[in-house]
Amino acid sequence: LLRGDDANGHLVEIDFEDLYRRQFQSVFRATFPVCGDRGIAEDATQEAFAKAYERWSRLKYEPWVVGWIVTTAMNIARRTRRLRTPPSLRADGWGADVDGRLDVWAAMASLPKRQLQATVLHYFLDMPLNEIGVVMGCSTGTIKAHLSRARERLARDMGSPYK
Amino acid sequence: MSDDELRARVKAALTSVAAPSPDVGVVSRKARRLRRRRAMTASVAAVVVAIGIIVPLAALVPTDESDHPTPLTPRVTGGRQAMSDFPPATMIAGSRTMLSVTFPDGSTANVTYPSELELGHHGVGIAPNITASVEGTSCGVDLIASRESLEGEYYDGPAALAQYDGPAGTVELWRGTGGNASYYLVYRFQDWWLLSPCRVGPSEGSAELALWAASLSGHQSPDGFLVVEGIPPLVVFSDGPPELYLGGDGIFVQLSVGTCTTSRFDRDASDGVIDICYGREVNMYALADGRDVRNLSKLSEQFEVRRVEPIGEST
Repeated sequence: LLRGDDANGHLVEIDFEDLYRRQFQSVFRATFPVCGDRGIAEDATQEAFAKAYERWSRLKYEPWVVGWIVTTAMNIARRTRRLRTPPSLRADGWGADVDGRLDVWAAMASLPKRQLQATVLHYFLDMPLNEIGVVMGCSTGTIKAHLSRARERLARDMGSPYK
Repeated sequence: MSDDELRARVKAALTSVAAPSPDVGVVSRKARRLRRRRAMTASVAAVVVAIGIIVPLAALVPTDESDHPTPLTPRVTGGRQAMSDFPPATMIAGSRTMLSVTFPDGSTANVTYPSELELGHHGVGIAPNITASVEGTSCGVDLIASRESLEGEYYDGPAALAQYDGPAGTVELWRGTGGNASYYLVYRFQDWWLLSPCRVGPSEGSAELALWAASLSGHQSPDGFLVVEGIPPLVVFSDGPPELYLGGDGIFVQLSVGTCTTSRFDRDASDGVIDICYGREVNMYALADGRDVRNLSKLSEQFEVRRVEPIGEST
């Protein structure tokens, strides 16, 4: 992740265009499980970056800015999906071991909204719990609870008990 | 499965999704539209405050019903019901469908579109978020509207923490599930739930909560839409216009009222987005799903907004 502070903890201004080019595909991939639709995910990703650009004077120093963009994109994708037919599972673009990846996708797609957001931010984007708490607007303890429930559910749905 | 294994499987699954390339041009255009929309909304508010009167907006735009005589046969169509959405009554005349809508501020309009796009069939919804604020309080700004109970998703608990008197009945305070807010004031208006997130509970903020409960009202319009009303000091639509969404095959349509101060036309569907003002009241912003812009072109050419009745106008 692109960070808003350097190794010494000093604030570093993040360049929007650089962030956009480097993180666009990660945000798209994080948004995709919400809707299972490439078109919706791409539109939502672009929209979320546009909203971030609008607020850039406030966001450009924040270490959690990518998390903010991801959660915004996920919310847009969810809202858009509600007005369309339920997503159909499409295996195109999934590379090798399609079945295994589809199992993960299906398990993630069945998670409640907040659990899915926490899972993507923590396990895909490697965000620390305190930063996830900031972008999701809740305490670290609540994030832990979301992740705990998500882990149990994912493990169960993927047929492998969580240890 | 260990934590590391779960992390690896999630990363592998998501990383293997083929992602499109970033396109700076697209995000620039979207950002410009957002800025323009915000500026227009702000300028409308400023003008209204400055002159201190409500301009009869309907008089500014001719309702050109007579220019488009379309014989319509009433027919109620069904549709998929989703959160915040409901199947609206539409009138279909061959290749044209008319849908009467009521915006969350009470403004009404008739929209007409090509029947083949089936916009109404996939549900009509008000924007899930309605903005409202009372200066200096810890509730709002984004209210959440839904046709289904949001218990379990946004709020939970064995019972409401408190009850307050509202203009349209009892308003309950519930504990949040740990997501967006610690507490939610829950309003009921017939088939609709409306939630106001709050950062204070009954022990530290009962006066604020009672004020919010007493200052926010609403009702369900005869055609099933939610109308929200603010009683001073509460201001509704404080940070965003009243909006509606229409869902269609591969097309997402957003209608907002009161956002056009000058006519603007972006009818070119080739970039997957169109953005059109109808008169000075209604803006239609539509985007196509992925690269299917053929239906978006049809919408650009054939979508019409007529008989606009802004809030405050007699019908």
